Amino acid sequence: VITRRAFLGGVGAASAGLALGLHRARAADAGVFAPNPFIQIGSDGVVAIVCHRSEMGQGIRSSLPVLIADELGADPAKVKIVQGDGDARYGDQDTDGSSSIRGPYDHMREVAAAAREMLIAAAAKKWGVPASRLSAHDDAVHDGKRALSFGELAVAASKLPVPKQPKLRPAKELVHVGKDLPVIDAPDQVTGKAAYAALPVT
Amino acid sequence: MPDGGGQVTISIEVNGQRHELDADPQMPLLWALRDLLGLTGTKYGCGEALCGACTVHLDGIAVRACVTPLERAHNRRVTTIEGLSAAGDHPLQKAWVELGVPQCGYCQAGQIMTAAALLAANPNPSDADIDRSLAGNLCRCGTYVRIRAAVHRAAKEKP
Repeated sequence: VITRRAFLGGVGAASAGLALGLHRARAADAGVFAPNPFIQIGSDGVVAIVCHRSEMGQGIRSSLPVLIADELGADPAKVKIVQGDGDARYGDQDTDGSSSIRGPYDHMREVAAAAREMLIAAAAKKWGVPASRLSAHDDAVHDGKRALSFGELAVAASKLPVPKQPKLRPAKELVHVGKDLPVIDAPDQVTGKAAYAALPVT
Repeated sequence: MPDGGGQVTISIEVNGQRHELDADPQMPLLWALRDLLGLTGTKYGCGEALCGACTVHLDGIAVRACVTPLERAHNRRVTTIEGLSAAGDHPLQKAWVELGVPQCGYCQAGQIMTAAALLAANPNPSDADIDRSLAGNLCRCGTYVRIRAAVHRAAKEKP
């Protein structure tokens, strides 16, 4: 488990990454281009996704990040899930009323779609082809047989403007939503490693 | 063997490691595991042996660590969830992950330790055997149906 502060500090140190969304986060926290805290892609290819709702057995850490990964085109099995502490920049974090999927559903898809469009735009620029013929899946942007990984595109994508009205994927392109998903914390829960208390701030 | 009162030295083997603990012999074994040895996988639930969250093995037998005085573990072997398998790959742990048993997960260490003692004594339990054996392990998330399925799956895979 990693604290938000340690996570953002690490991203800041790496500095060659893409962090984005629909509104600007406090620059002081991240130290890099970080308009939104939900998605962070490093040039090492690691896709980190923040779960900004509380886990209490309903499986939100196993589902909400998968929604973002699916819209983005990232492999949920490789995604690094970061627990979002209470922070106004995540917006509403109420975890109640069976609403933690329904509430953020559209916003999370928009955040991910914006990221995907920027990665595609970066690839289109690199290849000199129209963005419309490219697709993003399996942690890469594809043009027929050639591909550029999200990691390879992170720096270039971070220099592009964030689209204000990103286009969502057609529903049939969402390959994980609606499927039975693995319980992401289960390996820790069955070995006694799962933490059940607030972690000290480091 | 200590005879109670004040601090004494208790010798216990936990997950294959021997420890000499200077402690009150009446200290609950659960306290010793969590606070003295830092093994926090075993959970405090009710403190009165009513919920099973604190289940560990004492010489292979499932006991409630919250009501087991430390002196009862003197010169005996304790196994906790951390020591059930070296790599978290006991058939029960694998089945639990494969079938997505845990929800909040707080009771699951106790569930698994009770189930492990059951399988050691009865390698091919029926539904009724499982229900009877695990009746003292409560789960407020209500994972009982998947627990039963996972015990059956683990029983099919011999450790």
